[in-house]
Formats: sequence, C-alpha cells, structure tokens
Amino acid sequence: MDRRRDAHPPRLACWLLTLTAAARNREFALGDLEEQFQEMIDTPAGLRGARRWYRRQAWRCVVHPDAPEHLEAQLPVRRGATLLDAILQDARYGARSLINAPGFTAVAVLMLALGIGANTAIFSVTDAVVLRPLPFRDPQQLVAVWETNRAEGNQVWRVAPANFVDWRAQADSFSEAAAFGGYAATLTGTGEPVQVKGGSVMPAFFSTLGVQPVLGRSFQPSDEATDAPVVLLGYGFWQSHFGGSESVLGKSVTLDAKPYTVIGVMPNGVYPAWPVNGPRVHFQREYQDVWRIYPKEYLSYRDSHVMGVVARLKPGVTVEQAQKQMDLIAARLEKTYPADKDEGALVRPLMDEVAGSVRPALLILLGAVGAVLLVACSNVTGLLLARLTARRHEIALRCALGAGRLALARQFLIEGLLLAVLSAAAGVWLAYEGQGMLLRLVPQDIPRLADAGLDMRVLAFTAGVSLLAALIFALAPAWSAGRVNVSSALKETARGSESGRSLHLRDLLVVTQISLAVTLTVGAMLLLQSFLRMGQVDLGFRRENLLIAEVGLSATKYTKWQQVVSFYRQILEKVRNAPGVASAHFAYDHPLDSNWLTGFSIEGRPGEKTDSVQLKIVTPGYFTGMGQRLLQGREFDEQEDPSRPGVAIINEAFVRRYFPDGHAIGKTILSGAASYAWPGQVPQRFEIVGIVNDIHHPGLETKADPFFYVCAWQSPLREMSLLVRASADSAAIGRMVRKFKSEVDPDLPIAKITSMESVVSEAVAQPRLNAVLMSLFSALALLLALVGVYGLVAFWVGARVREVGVRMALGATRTSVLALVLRRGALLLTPGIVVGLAGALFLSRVLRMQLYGISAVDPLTYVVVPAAIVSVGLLACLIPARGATRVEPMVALRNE
Amino acid sequence: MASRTERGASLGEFEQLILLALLRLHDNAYGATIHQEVQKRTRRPISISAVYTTLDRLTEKGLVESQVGDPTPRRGGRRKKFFRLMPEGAEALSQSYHVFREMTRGLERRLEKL
Repeated sequence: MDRRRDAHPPRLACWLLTLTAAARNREFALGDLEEQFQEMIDTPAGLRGARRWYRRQAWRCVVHPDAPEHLEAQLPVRRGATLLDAILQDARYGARSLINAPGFTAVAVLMLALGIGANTAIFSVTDAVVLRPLPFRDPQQLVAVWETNRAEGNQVWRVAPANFVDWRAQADSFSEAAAFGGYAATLTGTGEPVQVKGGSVMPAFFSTLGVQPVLGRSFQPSDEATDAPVVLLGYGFWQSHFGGSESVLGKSVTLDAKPYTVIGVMPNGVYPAWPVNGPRVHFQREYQDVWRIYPKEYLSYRDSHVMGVVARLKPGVTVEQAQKQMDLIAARLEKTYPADKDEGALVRPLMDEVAGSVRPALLILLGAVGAVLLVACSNVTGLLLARLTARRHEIALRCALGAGRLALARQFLIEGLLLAVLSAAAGVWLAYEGQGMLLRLVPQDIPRLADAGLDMRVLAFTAGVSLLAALIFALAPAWSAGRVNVSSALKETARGSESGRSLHLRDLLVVTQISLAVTLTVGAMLLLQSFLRMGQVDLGFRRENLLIAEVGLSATKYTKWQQVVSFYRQILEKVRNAPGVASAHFAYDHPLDSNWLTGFSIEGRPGEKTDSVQLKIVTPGYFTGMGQRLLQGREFDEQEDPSRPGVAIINEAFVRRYFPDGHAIGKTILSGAASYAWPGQVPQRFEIVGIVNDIHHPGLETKADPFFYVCAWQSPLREMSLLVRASADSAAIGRMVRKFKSEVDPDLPIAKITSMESVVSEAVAQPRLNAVLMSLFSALALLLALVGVYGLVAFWVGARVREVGVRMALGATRTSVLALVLRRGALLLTPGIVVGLAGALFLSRVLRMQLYGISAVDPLTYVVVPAAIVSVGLLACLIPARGATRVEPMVALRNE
Repeated sequence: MASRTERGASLGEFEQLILLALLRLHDNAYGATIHQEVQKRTRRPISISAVYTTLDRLTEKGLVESQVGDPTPRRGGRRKKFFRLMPEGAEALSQSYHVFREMTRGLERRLEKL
C-alpha cells in the first residue's frame, strides 16, 4: 500500500506536460492523467505499465497539443503526423527562403563548409592514428617495455636481449611477453632477388598480441629449439609474391641464401616491428614481409640495446603495478651485472608507441579546427541575426496570422539544419579533396596513416559536428525570432532597424571570433617560427644533393670480409668516376641515423662502467665528403685494414663526456660491437686518431649523442648505405647506382634510394604539419573574424546614416565621423584581443612541447600578432567609415 | 459564428464525440472520464490536451459550461473541472444527429457491410 502511495508519474514526462499544457487547463489535465495513472497501477499493467502509459500520454500532448477540426481524420492512422507535417512544411519554407537569398546562403555554406571540412579531414587522420584501438585482442592490456638510463637523464633505450630474458623469467605482471627486432634479408629463388623487411621475433610474439594466422600456424616455443628454420609471411607479401596461394605452406624460401620453411601467413595488421632508438617502433606495412625466430646466439648480449618488447598485462594488473615490479627487477639486475649499471625499465601502453609522438600535434590541430568551426558558426549566427532584422516584418506578419512562438523558433531551427546539411555535404567534399594534401603533409612514418579515410565513423562525426554547429548558430536567431514585438515591428518601415538585444549579441559574437582568431594566430606564428628555425639549424654536415642507397649483401655469398670490402671498393670506384658525382662513401648509416647504440669501455680506466654510445662505420674520406669538420687528428685513410691496429674517430660530445680535459687523441676504446660479423678477424681495440664536430638532429633540441666512428675497411658490414653527393639530378644518379650494382653483383636486390633532403624533410614533417596547418587554420579564422568585424561595423554605419547626417549638418568634420566609426571598431577589437591573448597564454602550456628554439610566451609574437590584427581590423572598419564620411547631410535627412 | 452553431452541421467530428461523452457521463463528466470514455468507444489514442482544447472551444461557443470541483489526493492534490451540456449544446448535438440519421437512412445494411 505504501509503495503505491509513493508511486509518482515519471518526472520527466510530468515536466514535459507542465511545459506544454495550456496554463488555464494545466492543473486539471495533470490531475486527470495522475488519476488515471493511479487507477492503472491497480490493474494487471502494474506500476511499470502505468508509467509507460503516462509517458505515452505526455508525448501525445507534445505531438498533438491541440485538436483542430481536421486533426481527427488523421488521428487513427498516422500518429505524430501533425508535427511531421509541420516540419516538412517548415523545411519547404526554409528551402524557399534560402533559395531566395542566394548570396547569404552561399556565404554561410562556404564558411561552414570550410569549418566542417577541416574538422572532418583532421578528425579522419586523428581517428585512424590516435583514437581507434589497436587491432589486437584486448589491446588495453598490451604494453611496450623499454630500458632507461639514469646516467643519460633517463633517456629511453631499446632493450638488451639478455635483460629481456631475465625480465621474462622474473616478472609475473605479464601473462606473456616477447621481444622483437628488425630483420632485413634478400629473398632469392623467386625470380628477381628482392629485399624483404620484417621482424626477428620471439615465438610468443603473435600469441602476446593475440593474433591468429589466416593460413597455417603461428610460431611455437618448439620452433626456437629446432634446427629447421621457419618463417611466417605477411599478408601483403604473400599476395604480391606468392599470388595468395595456399600451396605456399610447407614451401621453402631462401632468405640470405639460407632455406626457411613457410609455416603460415599472418593477417594484414599493425604489428610492432623494427624498434629504433628514440625509441620508437615502426608499425608500417613495409616492415611486414616476413617474420623469423630471433637467433638464439644473440640472447646472451647484455650491452647491445637492439630489441623492442611487447607484453600483455595479466588481467587486473595496471601499468603502474607492472612498472613497480619492473623497477625492482631492474634494480636486481643492476646489482648483478656491470653492463646494467644505471639502467632501469619503463612500461608504457603499446598505444602510446603507435600514436604517442603525434598525439599532441593532432589533438592541437583538432582543437584548432574546432575553433575555426566556432568562428564560422558565430559568423553565420551574426548573418542570421542580421537577416532576422530584415525579416522582422515578415515574422511579425506571421505572428499576427497566428504562428506561435514555438513554431517560429522551430522554423528558424529547421532553416539552420538545412544550412548545416548543405554545409556538411560541401564540407565532406572539401575534406575528400583536401585529404591528399593533408596526407602528404603528415609524417609518413605515422603508423596506421594508411587507414585514414572518410569511413562511417568519420561521417558520423561530421554529422554530429554539423548538427552541433546548426544548434550553435541557429539557436540565437530562433530565440530572437520568438521575441519579436509584433506591433512595433509591424509599425516599422520595411527597412527594419535592429533591436538593442540582438546588436549586443552580435557584438559578443564578433568579440568571440576575434579572440579565437588571436589565440590561433599567436599559436600558429609560434609554430611557424619554430619550424623556420629548425630549417636554419646547422646540422653539422652538408645535406645538399646527397643521395642514400641502401645495400644489403647476402651473408651466405659474402662469407669473407675481403669479399665485402672488395665489393664496396669496386662500387665506389665506378660511382666516383661517373660524371656529376662529387663524392661517394659507404657508411652505416647516413649522418642523421643514430641507431647503433653499443657498449664500450676506455682502456686504462679499470673499474669504470661500460657505457653505451652511438657507433658508426664509415669508409675513408667520409667526413670530408659529408662536410663534417675534423677538429683534431686525422681522418681514416685508404690503407686501413683489419691486420693493422684499429683506429677510431670520436665526436665532440664524446670528448665532452669522457675526456673533459680534452686529451682524447691516442687513447684507446674497447668495443666488440663492430666485429660481430667477423668475430676474431677484425680489431676490437681502437686508438682514437681524430675528433670531428657533432651532428645535430633537426627538430630535436636534445644535445648531440656521443659517437665513435670506425673505419669500414677495418670492420666492414654487409649492410651499409651508399652516400653519393652529385650535381646531376637524383633520378639519373639513382639509375647509375642501380646499374653499377648489378654489374658488380647481379643477385643484389634493388634497394631503396632516398635523398638526404627527404630524410631531413621527414624529420621535420611533424613540426611542418603543425606549422602549415595551424597557419592555414588561423588565417581562415582571422579572415572570418575580419569579415565579422566588417559586417557589423558596416551594418552599424548603415543604421546611423541619419545620425551621421545630423552630426555633419551640425558641423562635425569628416575626421570626427571617421573617428566615431573607428572607435566603434576598436570597441569590438580590444576585448577580443585581450581575451584572445589570455587564450594564447593558456594554449602556450600545451604548445611548449611542440616548439623549438622559441619560447611559448615569446614577447615579440605576443605584441606583433595583436598589433597586426588591430591594424587589419581597423582597416576593415575604414571601408564603411569612408562611406559614412561621404554622406550628404541633406540626402541622409531626406531619406527618413 | 452563431449561425454556424445554430445549424449544428458545423460541429466537428471530435466536438461531436466530446458532446456525446458529456451526454453519457452526465454528472460525472470531467477531464479524466471524458478522456477515457472517448478513447474507449472510438479506440483511438487521444491526448488529454486535445480534449481540453476542444472543451475550451465548445465553452467559447456557449455549448458547454464548466465548474471547478475540490482537490483530491488521488489527483496529487489537484482540482477537477466538471463539464455540463448547455441547452445550445444539446440542440447542436441533436441537429448533428438528425442530419447524420437522415443521410444514413436506408443505408444501414450497406454501411454495416463496408
């Protein structure tokens, strides 16, 4: 009984009824429904049925608020028909009124389409790269684990294989974990030799990720132990080189002259591959040709940081808990092994590896396009309000003819929706057209970039954004339309004059536009200056006209170091003698590459820890050829070979860190890394014979790493890059290099040839993306805001022709009239600038990480940008102001 | 306006339904009962607002009069508004009924079969 007494009709429905019912009957109607509701609770329908019934009644009252005579005929068949009919009628009316004002419609649609299009395009990339979950089982459980080094300011490093083996044995936060490294090999026996790229992975790699093969089986722990090597193929490679044939299973393929049995094909996906220092993991499809098992013999290395690690957290274990455990394990290892001195471990979500570096950039851009859309929306609101003023007469007439306030507001909302639909269509088209440009600007090594496109998710986003935009820009006019004072509007002349309220609203809109534009422009200018500074940075070598051709010699064919050296010498001789070639060298790898972090120690410093530095292997003359300066000592010469004592050249950073007194020449470095391909045959002690300047990485404000260089004639590698500086065009040089290569060794695969310019360009792709797009968006916002200022001031002047006429008749000078109009403009600009600068200061906190060589609160930018915007804004006011000064007092007065 | 009511034929269908409900409910005719009565007999979903709008209009035409009753707890402490047929309303209803009957005379069987 008590329960029943507590039973109230649904609150929302009650509220809806209270809102919609006519005031004089509200009490009775609500009482009647409540009475029926209470009766219904006692029937089999019960409380739930009664509540449902009540909600239906409330809805019916909204849809059929009144019962005009013709209503009944439609009642039984089409519920809700009246509202739908009214909406359709509104839509038809709205379409007619948009068609009748083609200028207004075109401008509004253009502004909104630019805003919506930019949002769609940026969202499509952000969604594909940052927002979508990884295509693995329970991707939120996947983490990457790295090593860190306290001595290097907690720099994050790749993982040494032996450390991984210990982690795996000791950590119980993970249900599975696997290490992986890059793998490149030459595939022969299937026609033209091909260079394939993929991964050397632990057997648990795919089961950790939770990916099943589309064909055959994945790796098993037993594959590690067996002597018969097996490979998995990537889906794309299987399609392109084996025609997607199932008979590939069990077939033997020859990689670097070694036979492997194909056991399966993995689906197309985004697999972590090729960890590089930074550290970063490449996820591109070009690293998904093949996977093999990580060679056992490397698993004992503790001072070569070469691997990436993926692990799956046990259910319920957080990243923080895993991090705590890894800290303990790393501390334990540090005590046990000298090579692990100062080293820690870092656990972070795998998603951060995929998107981490670009996430802030893309989110900033998404914010920027959001601001552009807001500016566009408020501009359209301004236009609609201005139009509303012109339509006051029409609105008043409709009111007088019986249109309700709600109906008028609905009419304006529907017109807004029509505009939004048109703009969304145009915006999607713009996004589709602009996407090519956007994708070229975006750093190409962003994983999953290829997945960006206008799919259903993106279109749903566009629909949502457009709807939101429509609500934003149509709400104010709809509200104002409902408040038009019928009698005064009807008495006015058809020319119309503006009510104070809507003018204040338009002021507010223009101020909003200016402030958003100021914030965006300050941000854009900071990013642009930062990007330009990056371009001017002295990299420490000459990047002009430098081509890079990767070479990978087969391990089974080139079994002796002499063969390798002889191959390189022959190629260099041919290339250097070719026309247009200024210099040619082999190196592992090009100057901006810093991917070989290796352990070393300095002879005569017992007890000192072995440290890790960058190693490069280069042919004699490399430094001269690259334009690096030799600061002390000598370069490598052509006579170096493994039988002579090893020599090394170090950079300034090396000297700064390990020889603070500056006396480095003549000292000896011990490192086994360069000899891994020819153990016992090449030197492991290197006397320092020279010092060269540091190389700076464009876009990175960090200090240069310590490097030591070893001569390629003493420690040759099978994988090196040919660096050619040539005055001839790059395509011709490319052809020539390919030709020479096939003359010397026809089995050598055609390697990728890139230019140093493109490497540099790729290195600064992200700052460029930020700079270019932010400049574009801020220019757009600025233009729209200026249009807003101009429009409002022009309108204001137009409405004051009479006042100006009177003033001039009473002796006001042109200058004073000009000042009057400019003051009006300044009244709009000043608050906009102030709020905008405050916004920019707020934005600077986000932007700080993206800037290079410039402070986020750079005073000059904070002065120049507002000053420029004020000047341009006042210029925009000058046009209507000049018009005002030309007013003939008599004409103006007669007009009234 | 008055001449239209006099002829009665101008009563809308829904107005007729409401007046018929008043006739049937007699002393117990208020929003809830009228609403239920019309819905039950016509088997059509009808909103309570539509009932009141029509009753308002009939009152304006002078066909119906209303009287406010006491609040009851079952109505959440709200009052009832009772409606009563005025002689003019009864007249209009009767006219409508006669017109309808004249028009349907002799068609009863065929109408039943439709």
